[in-house]
Amino acid sequence: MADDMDVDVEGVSLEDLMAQLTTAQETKSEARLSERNVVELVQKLKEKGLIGAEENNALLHTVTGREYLTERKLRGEVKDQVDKLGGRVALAELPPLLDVDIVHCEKAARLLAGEARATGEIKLIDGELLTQRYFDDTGVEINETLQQRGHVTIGEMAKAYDLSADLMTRTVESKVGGVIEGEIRSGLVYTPTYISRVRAIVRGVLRGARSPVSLKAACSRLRVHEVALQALVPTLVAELVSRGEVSGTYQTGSSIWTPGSYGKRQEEEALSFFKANGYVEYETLKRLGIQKPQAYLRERYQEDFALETIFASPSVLPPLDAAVDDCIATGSYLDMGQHLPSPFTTGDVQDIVKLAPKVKQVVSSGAALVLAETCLVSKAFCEKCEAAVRESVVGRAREMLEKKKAAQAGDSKAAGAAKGKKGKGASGEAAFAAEDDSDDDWDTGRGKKGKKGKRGKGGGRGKKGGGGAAASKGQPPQDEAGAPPSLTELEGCLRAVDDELEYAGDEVTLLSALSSHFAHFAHNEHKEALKQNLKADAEARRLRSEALSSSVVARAHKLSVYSRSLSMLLSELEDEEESGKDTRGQLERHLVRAVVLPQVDDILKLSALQAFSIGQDLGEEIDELSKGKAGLTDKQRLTLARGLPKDISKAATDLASGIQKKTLQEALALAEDASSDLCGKRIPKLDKKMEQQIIQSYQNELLATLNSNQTLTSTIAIAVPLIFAKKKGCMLNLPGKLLSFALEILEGVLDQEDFELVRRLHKKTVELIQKSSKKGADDDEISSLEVELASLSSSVTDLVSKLCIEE
Amino acid sequence: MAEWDAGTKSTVQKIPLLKTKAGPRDKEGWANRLKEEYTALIKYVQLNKGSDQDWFTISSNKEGTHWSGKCWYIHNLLKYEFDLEFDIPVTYPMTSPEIQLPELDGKTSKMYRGGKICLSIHFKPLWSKNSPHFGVAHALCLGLGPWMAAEIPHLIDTGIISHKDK
Repeated sequence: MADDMDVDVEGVSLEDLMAQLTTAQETKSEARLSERNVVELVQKLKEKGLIGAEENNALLHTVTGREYLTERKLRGEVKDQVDKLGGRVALAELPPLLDVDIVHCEKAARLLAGEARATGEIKLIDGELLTQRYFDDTGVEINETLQQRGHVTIGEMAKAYDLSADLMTRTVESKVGGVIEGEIRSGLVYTPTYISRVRAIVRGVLRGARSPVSLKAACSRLRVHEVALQALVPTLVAELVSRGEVSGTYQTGSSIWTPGSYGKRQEEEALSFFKANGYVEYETLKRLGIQKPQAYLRERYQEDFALETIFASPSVLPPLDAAVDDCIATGSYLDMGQHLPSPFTTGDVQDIVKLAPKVKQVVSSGAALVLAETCLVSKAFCEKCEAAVRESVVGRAREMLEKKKAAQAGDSKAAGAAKGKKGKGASGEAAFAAEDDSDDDWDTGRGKKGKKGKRGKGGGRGKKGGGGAAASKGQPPQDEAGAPPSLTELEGCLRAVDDELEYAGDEVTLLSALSSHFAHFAHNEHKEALKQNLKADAEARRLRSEALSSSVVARAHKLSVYSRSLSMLLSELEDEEESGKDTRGQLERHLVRAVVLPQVDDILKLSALQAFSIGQDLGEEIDELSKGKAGLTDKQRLTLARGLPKDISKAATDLASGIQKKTLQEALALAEDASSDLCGKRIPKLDKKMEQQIIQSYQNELLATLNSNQTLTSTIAIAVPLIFAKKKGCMLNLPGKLLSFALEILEGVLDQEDFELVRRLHKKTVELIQKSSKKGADDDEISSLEVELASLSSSVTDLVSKLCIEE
Repeated sequence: MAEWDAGTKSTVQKIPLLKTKAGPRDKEGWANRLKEEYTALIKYVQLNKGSDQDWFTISSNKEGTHWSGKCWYIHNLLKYEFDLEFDIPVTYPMTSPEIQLPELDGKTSKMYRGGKICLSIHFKPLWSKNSPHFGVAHALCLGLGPWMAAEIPHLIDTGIISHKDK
């Protein structure tokens, strides 16, 4: 035990010591708690809600974990810290200073700023706490800088103080007039002294300028702040101008100052050019500093023309007027641009052409028209072109139709060949009928519209067939072959009129303008030409159809006369024996072949024509057959009959194939039925008067033939029927070899002398025919026979003529 | 002093030692001795208060021969308080005082009749060795303190003593 631990009781009474002991025992003992206990205690208190339960006053701890503190305390500390650091502190700086987590610091800062929102005492901006004091200090500092430099920009200050431009503007604006002695404009703060200085500089520059000067350049040379230039200079210049200290115009956008004296001089130059030449380009005036030359000139010369790039006076027009007159007089065209000064652009020419009185006058009077914007075309020239176009279009339409027909004929031939190969008889017929059928179905199946289209198409394909019907319904034929002439074709045609056309005009040449101009005309002409062609076709068909129908009637009548004559003639021979019957058969067969068959041909042709005329397309082959004037071969007849519309084709085919095997009476009946069934032609009954007329015309016909006859051998063949007609009132159609039979009947009818003459002619004729057809015939004998025959023939002709004239 | 815990040892070392070797029979010396006793006790109480280990109160009669007071022990957050008294033996300071807790008389084997606590094994040799430098303060610190720490929890756990509030 150390000595210093020993008790020293000198000078102290026992009572004092007893009192001291009592005092020591009464003293409250110091509480000694372990850290763990304290933590638990605090935990307990928090659980019980005794501490940290108030809103915004939670219990926090420092980052070291050694200390507890409440939020309220933290707010106090934050505020103290901001004040201590001059009124501005970044939130990120607080944690190391306060040993509190950044999250709590941020919350405390937010709450502080929120509490002080009304007063604006403390603000939280971009993660920084700023107090009013800081802004006051900043204002003072800015003012110091401003007074030193004369001007400061918000931008510079914002950068220097690391504040947003907006905040800096608000700060400075609130201080200007107070702490900051100056003015603020467009982000520039400046002192009155600075303004006077800038004004002096600007005045100097403006007064010194003798030509347009850029104030921007001048001021930057004189070190006027750029912002000041934008913000102050326009006002300053306006002030100076209004006070009359400087004279000129200032363009705010480009900062160009144009002194008054310069403007006047330039104006004079520009106007003198205009006066001298009658025109001036805007570009020239712009170069001379006049920004809106058009308006400028318009103000001074109301009467003149403001064109696209040029301002022109009427003094440029006389050459143009003269050229226009000349053009109309010579019936040609002109490019008006060539008669105006060379600086005129196409746009200018277009403009002036619209304004020039002379051009207006000729156009309105119809003496000429303006095409391709700048070209004037006289009426005479237009007509010339029109004629050329018409000619070309009509020619072209004709050509096209012909080509088309040729192509179609080729097609139908090919089709016919194919059909031929398919086989003949029933199967071919069936195929044909089926094809026709399907076509019909298609036609009706498409309804009204389809029918219309089909008709049109049919008309186009078979120009000469259905075209007439289509055209009569006012439907222009429209297919590839019927296309109107293209612009290129028109251009080609016009180029032929004048090959210089394509060099007149500008972007649009006169050539193309003219072709466009005539396009509609050409189109119409084209349509018209097609229509005309089709009409001609239809007309021809109509005429043929009429001729055929009258010939069918006439021939029917003749037939009945023939038939009656024949039966009359034969009745006279009724008592004859077998040979008479044979003759009768021969005569009837001849009549069927010679007269009934042509009648059947005509009936078939008429039926075909009727089908074509109502728009049915029976094909090119049928068309050709129906057009032919000559009689048909058996094969052609059958083809035509098969080619007729389906409803009558069967009956027609039967007729064509069977008629030759019938007797005359049957054949006559068949022909009459056919004329009414196939082509709807009823044969009127023949009365006596008509019969007489027919026989009379037959006589006249024969007589005319006889008189004009050149062939010696046929005189007898004409003379005998003529005598029959004259003497017996009947019409005979005889084969050559039955002439002798007819001649015998004449015996007794004619005078004996006359009869002998006729018989001798017959004999000699037979003799001549027989001799001349033999091989190795004696030429002399034949010529002597011919001489004899000639005299006989003339005698018989005279005799018959006399017979005819007698009555 | 291996029998005492580190806290006790460090505390006892801070209690001033006494110098006067005098018993109640020595007129002059006893007054001085008594003063020293008080001084040591004051220091001990201050030490206890300072380390938040205050566990007794004590005072003596005017002559300093009879001491009484209270001592307490905290077990399971409950404070158990007992009366404390003892007389200064005639042979003091050669003989240590016999501290009595009358309330616990007969409740434990570690006690002599009349509630005198049994301190013979470790305390007495130490006292003899340090006599006359040890006084009442040392007796409380090295005798009664450790005895209570050893016996009271046992007595409470076995239900021999119970808290006054129960």
